[in-house]
Amino acid sequence: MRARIPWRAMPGPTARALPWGPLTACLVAGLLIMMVPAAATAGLGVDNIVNLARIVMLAGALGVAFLLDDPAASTTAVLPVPRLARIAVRGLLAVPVLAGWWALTLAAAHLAVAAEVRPAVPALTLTVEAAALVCVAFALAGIRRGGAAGTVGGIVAAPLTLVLVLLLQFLPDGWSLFVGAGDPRWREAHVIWSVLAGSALLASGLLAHEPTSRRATTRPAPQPVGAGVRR
Amino acid sequence: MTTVLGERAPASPPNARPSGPVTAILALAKVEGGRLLRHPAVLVAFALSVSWAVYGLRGTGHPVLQHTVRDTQLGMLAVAAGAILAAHLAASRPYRDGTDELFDVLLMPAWQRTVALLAATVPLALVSAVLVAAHVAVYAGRSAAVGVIDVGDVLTGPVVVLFGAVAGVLLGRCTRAVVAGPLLLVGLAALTLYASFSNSPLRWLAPVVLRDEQYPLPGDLIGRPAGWHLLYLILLTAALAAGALAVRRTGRDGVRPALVAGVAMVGALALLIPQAAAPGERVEQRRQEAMERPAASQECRSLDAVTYCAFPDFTGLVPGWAELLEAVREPVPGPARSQITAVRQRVNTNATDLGGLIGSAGADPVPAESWKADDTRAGTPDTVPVGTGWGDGQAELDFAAAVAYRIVTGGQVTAAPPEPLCGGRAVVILWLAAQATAQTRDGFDYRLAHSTGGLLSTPVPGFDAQMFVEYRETSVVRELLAQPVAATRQRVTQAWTQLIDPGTTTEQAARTLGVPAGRADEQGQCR
Repeated sequence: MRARIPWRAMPGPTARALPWGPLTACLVAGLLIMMVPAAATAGLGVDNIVNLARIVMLAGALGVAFLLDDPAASTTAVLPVPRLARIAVRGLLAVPVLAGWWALTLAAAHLAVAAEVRPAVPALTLTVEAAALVCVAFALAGIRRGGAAGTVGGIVAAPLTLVLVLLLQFLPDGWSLFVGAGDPRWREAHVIWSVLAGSALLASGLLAHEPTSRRATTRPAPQPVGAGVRR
Repeated sequence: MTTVLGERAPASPPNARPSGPVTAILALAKVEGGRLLRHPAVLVAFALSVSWAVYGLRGTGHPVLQHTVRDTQLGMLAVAAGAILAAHLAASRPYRDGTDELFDVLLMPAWQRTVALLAATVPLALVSAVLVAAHVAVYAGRSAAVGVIDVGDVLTGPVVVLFGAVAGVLLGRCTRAVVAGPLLLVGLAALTLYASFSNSPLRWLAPVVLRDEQYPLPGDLIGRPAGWHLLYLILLTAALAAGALAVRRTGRDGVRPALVAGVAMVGALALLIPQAAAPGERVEQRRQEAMERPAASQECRSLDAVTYCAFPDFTGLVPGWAELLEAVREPVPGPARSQITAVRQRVNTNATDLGGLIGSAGADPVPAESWKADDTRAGTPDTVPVGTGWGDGQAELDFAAAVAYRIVTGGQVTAAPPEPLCGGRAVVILWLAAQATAQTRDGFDYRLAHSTGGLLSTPVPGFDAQMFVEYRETSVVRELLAQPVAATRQRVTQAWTQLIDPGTTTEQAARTLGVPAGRADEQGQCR
């Protein structure tokens, strides 16, 4: 029989176990990157702020890449709570933090651009991009490794996120997703970004699926202790 | 790594003199160097930068070498990024594997291990150097290449890779947090981005300062402190390497690495002074001269009764100009053709590329008076301007537009007029320019897609001289371009006098040429 998921009991302990260190480091670094030109009242143009915002959202995504790091993964694997629920709770706990951080980033961006171009800053579409990058990083962090319990974690997901962004950066003009603010492909690129965000979420859902059936009557193969932790 | 240790342990019995630290360091460096080169992040970065370079080969008919060379630095930034990640992971591997304590019982002290890690970054830099050299050689080997190669700029690419790898090692010695490597990378990316849109002298602190001037400059006007920057980068890398040896040091034999790191750092920062002083007063003076009175420093050549004057580094562009000029005036009947007697290269030496848009505010006004006097002195009155860029379609369109404008109106665009170009003249000028070659056609399509309400051309690149044609006229031109070329050319030749009459409206021109005129633009200024 399927166990009921203890939704109310999960957030507290999960929040305590989340790897806040890497996330905080990344979010603070991202905010600082945006605050330097804001503090210098640089009066940047729209294109510059869009590029800067992309670096900041990359910093945030890197933090998210570490979100599923769990040294205790091999012990939580035996709990009756499904893996999908555990991963979902981890992700959902980070959402308000990320939302607040992104709002602060946009506020700093507002201060960094020249007053006359402020209305032209595409805050909403940049938010779509940021959400997509974060979702992709989260999906990459969920790539399974080490049997039933472990995920590759930030050590693989963070470089993968960076490589992916590098790849997008080097795409030829007609294919680029990091388009300039005045580019005619702006709309098209952001449709792709939202599709990317959706597919990344879907992918992390699929990756979170339990590798062995929870209703299996036979015992899963025994694993060496700490198999999911070693890198 | 384990292989090395395995070999060494039995080879050195307790009382025997060790076979020398150099052997051990080299052996470890060899293994770590191989691992660094084979690291997935580095491999992907290499693949990216190579495929990007190969992709860049197509379509650039006239590479400007100084820009090509700086572009190699962009490719190397990707490799440096991979190097940071890989070197950081390599240096912090013992923490993650829990072998740090194990190392304490071995004969090889920690600092030798660090030296080996640092030495392991050299093969990576060498491979990068080979790639950069190949990239530059391919471009420089083209007969159509113009511009100059600065060795400082060439070497900056591989040194940036070295810098990235060494920074990764230092970071790995400082912190065991995995997130530190990616974060350092993001920080450096932000620094490079700041440098790309800042005019402050502090921008030279960034590892790579990409394109400076918006329009290619003649070699003696560039004044880019590439050599100083390379030296700065080398000293900075040395400081980081010494720093890697200084951290977590047990401190038995003095504080030399820290001292070296400090001295190298101070030296690197001191190099900011010559970098910030560039380009220097003499270059500034020459730039001003080249902008206002270029004739004295240019070389001229006559082809088909037209004199082409170019800066010495750009004489390779003359055949291209001549070819385009012929293509523009091919449909033009006899007397109007000979309107053009001279073409002179113009460059705005003040323009910096800060991510602005085409024809954005801040372009300098055309120094029409001094140009006129200069042209008269050189014996080539009424020159048609041409910029220093070539090969991207837009430069071709701008030059073709300047030529067509001269043929049709007999004048030259010298300002940014508030009103657009209207009527049959606008159609003929733009069509002459767009139909000339495949490149001008590309430029036409690009500009049309990137301007609002019509098409903007900057016939004097870098100066505040613009030609704006409204949407309605551009759509007539588009219709014309869709027709068979030979027939359209014939019709234009036959109706030439009527078409270029200032009184001819767009409807009349369209009717004469047999294409639909479209509806009048309500927001447009042309009636």
